[in-house]
Amino acid sequence: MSRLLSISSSETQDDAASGVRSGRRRLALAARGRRAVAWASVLFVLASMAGGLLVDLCPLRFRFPQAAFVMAHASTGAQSPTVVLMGSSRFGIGINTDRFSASLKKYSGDDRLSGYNAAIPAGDAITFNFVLTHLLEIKCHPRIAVIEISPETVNRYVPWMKFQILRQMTRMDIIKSIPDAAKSRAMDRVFTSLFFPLFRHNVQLTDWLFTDVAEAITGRPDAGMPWVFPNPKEQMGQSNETDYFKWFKRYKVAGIQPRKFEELLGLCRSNNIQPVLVGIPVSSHHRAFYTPTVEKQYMEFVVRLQREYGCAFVDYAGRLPDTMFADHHHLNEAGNEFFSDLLAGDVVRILNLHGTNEPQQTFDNPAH
Amino acid sequence: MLFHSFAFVSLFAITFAVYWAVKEHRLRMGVVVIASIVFYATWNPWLIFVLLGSTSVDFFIALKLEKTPSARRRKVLMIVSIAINLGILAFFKYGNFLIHSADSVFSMLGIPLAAPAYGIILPLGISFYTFEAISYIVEVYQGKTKAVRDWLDYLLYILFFPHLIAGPIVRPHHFLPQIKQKKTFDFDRLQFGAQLFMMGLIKKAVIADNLSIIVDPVFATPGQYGSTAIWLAVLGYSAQIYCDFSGYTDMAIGVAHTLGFKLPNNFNMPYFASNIAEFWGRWHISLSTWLRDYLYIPLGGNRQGKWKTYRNLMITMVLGGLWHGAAWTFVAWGFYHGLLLVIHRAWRKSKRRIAGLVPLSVAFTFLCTCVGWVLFRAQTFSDAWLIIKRMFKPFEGKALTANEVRITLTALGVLLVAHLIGTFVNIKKIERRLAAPILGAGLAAALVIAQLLSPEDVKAFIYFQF
Repeated sequence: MSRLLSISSSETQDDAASGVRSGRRRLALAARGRRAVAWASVLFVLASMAGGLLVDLCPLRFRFPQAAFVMAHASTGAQSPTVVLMGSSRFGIGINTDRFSASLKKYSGDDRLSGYNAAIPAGDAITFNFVLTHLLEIKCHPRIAVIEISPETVNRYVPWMKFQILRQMTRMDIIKSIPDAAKSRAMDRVFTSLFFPLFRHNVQLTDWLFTDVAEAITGRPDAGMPWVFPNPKEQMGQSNETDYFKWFKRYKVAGIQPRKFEELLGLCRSNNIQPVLVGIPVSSHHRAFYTPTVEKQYMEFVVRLQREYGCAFVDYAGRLPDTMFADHHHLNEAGNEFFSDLLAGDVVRILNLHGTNEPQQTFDNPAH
Repeated sequence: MLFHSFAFVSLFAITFAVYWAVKEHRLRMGVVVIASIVFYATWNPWLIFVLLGSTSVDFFIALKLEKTPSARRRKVLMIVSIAINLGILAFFKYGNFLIHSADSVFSMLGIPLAAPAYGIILPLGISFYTFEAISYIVEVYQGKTKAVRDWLDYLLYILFFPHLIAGPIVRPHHFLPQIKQKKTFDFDRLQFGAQLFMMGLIKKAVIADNLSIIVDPVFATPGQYGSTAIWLAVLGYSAQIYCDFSGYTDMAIGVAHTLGFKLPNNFNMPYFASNIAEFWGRWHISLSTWLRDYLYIPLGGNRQGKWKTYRNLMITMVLGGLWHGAAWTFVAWGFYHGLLLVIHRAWRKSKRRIAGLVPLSVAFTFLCTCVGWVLFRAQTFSDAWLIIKRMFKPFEGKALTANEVRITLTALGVLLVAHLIGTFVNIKKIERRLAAPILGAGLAAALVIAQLLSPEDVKAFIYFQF
């Protein structure tokens, strides 16, 4: 009996000891867990900060391949093009550089004149500033900058803010443009770009750091260039109405875009570049969004730019018929040929580029 | 709301902070219920009412059932509850399917019905929470579980957001006591939950989502592809669906752990099963055990002779297939697995066991499941047939790019290594010995890898459609 008691008592002591041990073990594990979570948090924050820094340092060809394409094909020094065309896909698709250059030469009688299409997909004033700054850095110094402008690209709602955050803005630029991003409903991109740069910019970073691995894992983003005409899948008056409607909802000429336009014109002035603002041709379906309120604010802004920066403005918004459009606002092949020639002629005429041959082409526009 | 979306991360962060900041247990459970309602309502705010409605009905029927002394009345109440649950499931999930199937049959007979197509939206997770509701009512009927007195507790059992959309299918006797248990914050459990979440995130965001980019086009237009591409796509899909679903489960279990709940495991190295019965013991365990307990055994299981056992297996698997989706391809997938189980049972019964050939059995079982996945994934029977034909009869056609081949083979290699480690290494034991900085570095590295290698388009979990 006593033996039994002693066994049971020792068992009880063992249990108690193991209970204490397991209690201690639990406490030790909890302490380890706390330290592990702390380590993970600190390392993750450090990795994200390093990632953000890498995004800002990421070379153009990985961060913004379309801009790198433009820089790579721009002539520099004495060979700099006379006219640089800065715009979005509307300019990219709408202007045939060869035709434009040929027409410049033809209408001016000056064989030295040439044009260069520096349009970028989803390009706006933020992009134009970026492109011109980089062109000047590589000693590509044009005499004339033809700049695309439209009511939607001076609005406080910036349709392409998400792209600009992704491909060109630095951490500091993003922080500065938070109010504009909020108005453009791009705060998710701001948040992820600032706090999770490794995710938001993963394609660019992996492409840069481990080109082969990146290709294998996520694929290489297509620079989207050279330009191709869009398939006329967007039926006029039907497709993307919601998107376009968003562009013009609560329209107000304010925010980052007008600021960037002014910066751009200031940059042109300080570098002796003559700016020409070009109101982009759009179809009648697209022009339906240009209400009198929109037109009034837009024109007031353009007139102010003309007055303050001495730039010319040519408006093509209603000058090309719908048959020349592939969709709402991109020209088709016929439109591209026509517009390239028309624009070259107008540039020669407006800037009086030794005009010996006046542009001959006229178009009986039903809109006028 | 997907677990690997920023919306979920935000919701979880708020829920986690409030949950542990609140001291009162009942309030904590209320916080989780509210978070679960928000989690569900972000997808469709109206269908939460279907869920709340059916939940309330089950709650009251269970209370009534427990108080009823008459065995007959108790049975009637149970049947009423099951009928309501299955009725809702049938309406939302199989309504259009039944109408279209009837239309096809009548059209074949020369009687066009011109049945209208109703735009019925399938409530997310309906197949999962219906089974959980049925488990509850049956367990109360059987006296295994006491009817819950508090509606909030029952709501939490059904709505608990980590398992709401795609399981694991929890059982009342396992989950309800956890709701009553007072929770204490534990950093060890938090880091363990984080580990599971990270593992799931890597499986889902890095492996499954990248594989889907390769696999989807092949299954969309299989006619264009040659045999090699088809084989890679089928193997890739096998890896994708495992990483997608088990990744979801890991994340669900991990999230539950951080809130002090334990969800059942759903996977156990399924592609190392040496026969199809073992496969079902390792794949979607919470569903296969549910089907066993609530369908196969009530049908008679294996107690009524060989042929009835085979019949029961076929019925269970065909209905299991139909549970996955309202399409004949899912029925065929269930039928195929039922047939494999019957063949395996007959083979086993005839005692023709081949000893020492386990790797071969594993490979053969994997091949059989891969063929099954073709039925599961293909859009139509003709696509499935075309893919199976090209798997076994060499055919020239479009090939995958070198990168696509590399990704698929890498994913398969990772899966093989993971299965080997999971089978032969005691990870838990090793993990317990690791120092905090190493664990922390592992967690951070997993999060960095997941961010760097996940595709930009966040893809929904495959099992969300069920």
